[in-house]
Amino acid sequence: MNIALPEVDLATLLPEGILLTTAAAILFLRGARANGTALAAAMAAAAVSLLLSLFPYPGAAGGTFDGLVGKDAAALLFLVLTDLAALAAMALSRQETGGDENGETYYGLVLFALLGMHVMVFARDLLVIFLGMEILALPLYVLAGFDRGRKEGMEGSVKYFLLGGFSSALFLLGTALYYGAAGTTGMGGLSASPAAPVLLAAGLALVVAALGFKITAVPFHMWAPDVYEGAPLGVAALLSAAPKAAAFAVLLRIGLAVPGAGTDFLPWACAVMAGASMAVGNLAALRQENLVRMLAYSGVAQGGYMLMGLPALAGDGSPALAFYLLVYILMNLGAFAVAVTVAGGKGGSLKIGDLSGLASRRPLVAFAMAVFMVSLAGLPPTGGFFAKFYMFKAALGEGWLFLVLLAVGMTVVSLFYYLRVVAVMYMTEDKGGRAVPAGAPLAGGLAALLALATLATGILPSWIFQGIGRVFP
Amino acid sequence: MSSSLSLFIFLLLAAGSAAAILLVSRRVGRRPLTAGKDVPYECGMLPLEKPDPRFFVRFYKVALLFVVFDVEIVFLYLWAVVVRDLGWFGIVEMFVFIAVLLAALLYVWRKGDLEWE
Repeated sequence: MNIALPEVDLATLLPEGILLTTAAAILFLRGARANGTALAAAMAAAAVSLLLSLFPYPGAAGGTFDGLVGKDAAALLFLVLTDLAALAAMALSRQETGGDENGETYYGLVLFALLGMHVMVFARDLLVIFLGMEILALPLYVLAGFDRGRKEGMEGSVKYFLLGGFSSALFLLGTALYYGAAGTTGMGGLSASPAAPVLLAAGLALVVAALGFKITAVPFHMWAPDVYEGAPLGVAALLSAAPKAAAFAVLLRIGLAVPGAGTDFLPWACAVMAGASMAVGNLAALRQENLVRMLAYSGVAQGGYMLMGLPALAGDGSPALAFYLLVYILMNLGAFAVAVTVAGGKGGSLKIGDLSGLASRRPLVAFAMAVFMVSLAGLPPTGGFFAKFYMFKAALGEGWLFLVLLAVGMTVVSLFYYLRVVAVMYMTEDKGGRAVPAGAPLAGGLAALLALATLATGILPSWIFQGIGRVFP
Repeated sequence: MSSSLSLFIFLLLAAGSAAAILLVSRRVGRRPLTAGKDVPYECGMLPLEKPDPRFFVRFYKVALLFVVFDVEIVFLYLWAVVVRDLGWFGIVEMFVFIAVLLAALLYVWRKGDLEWE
């Protein structure tokens, strides 16, 4: 009997090996200093992984495991994005895990989730993507309810678990149908005229729906506000950015891999999800009093803008999407960093009103928050403006005029709630009710860093955009 | 096409009869509903307790650990059949697999979850 052994090239998977071993080692930490050690080790591992993808070593890109796994330049870019988001989210978690006896587990779980995202990004096969989604989801279910003292945390965790399980089931069913139509679960090698286009379309629709859960695209966004509110702020920050980057990497790969009959509905499906996400996200965010819930709905809306890149894949959709993701990670995690600095243990129940008079109490923090809000709203001179600009231009270039009109209209709507935060910070008297929490130096420093980065993406947009554009063929 | 058409008709009939039964019983059934009408009719025992009793959480831990090693055995059987053909690759691969499972066991041990109390 002759068994064909898979061709294995472990050098390509070096960053993932580092993440995996560090995560496992962190779980074994013990003692009074375990918490800080875990934070440092986890951040170091994520940073090394980021650098290994940003400055690829020889052999960093390449395929292995018989084509199930493949890192190309685009995959490396998305790995950098997920690492960046995870790194920032961990820096925000110092306060949350401070008093917890199992604090070190938190960072191990974040690293495991990051590993899952890596697998999603470089997988070339639907089953491997599913594996990555599960490696991502299982730690996140636990992390969402990490704050066991809070009822909202438990509620959010259970909701996330149930809906996440549901989306996994959708993904598996979609994969089964795809296999039935294409005869493979691989992303490449689809014929332009498959034997059963309807089956293929149904399979891909289910797969896209399951990914829609990860990017909180309407109508799969229901879980987001409750989960963000109940989770520790660091986890909410992670959830709001990193899984989206990974899911968009998968969507890009699907969109680029399968043109032809049975898949021609994909641009329309994405356009409809994009429009619905913008409309629902922005209109719902208008009514929120809770800062974290507002950010959750804003994330739904931002996911809608990013989805616009997928119908425009033939044009500049992919670089526009990647650029938007980069800016989104910077500004959204920045907003969460400010939330952590002012929350002072309030966690997800932070109200927008709690920011009143922040400009007089902590001018630098208030300025950083203003930068993030202006950027999220899409105003110059921040990166958010150029993210929207490139995205709208790419969509217009492919003839999605009505989608761009809707997006512009919804951007105007979003000004109200983003700038309301700025108004509350700068134009309301501090009622002196709550003492300003001292400390949170890590989160404060991160907020400053991200504010600078958000401004930098607004000053050098074309340079960054062209750099990203070189990645996509 | 004809087979899927008959399947479609079958589905319609099934859904229609289910709806019809519900509608008819709603129309024809006698009100008010008494407590006696809530008990299972000729299809089982009378319920003695609530259907969602609390389980001792330690049972879950034991069950989880059992499943881990149960699955390991399943893989080991298949591996044992072909280990000659796999050569060194197979041996190394299986020991890596066992080492990963062992790490999980060590973790559980260290966290004190093997103690019953």
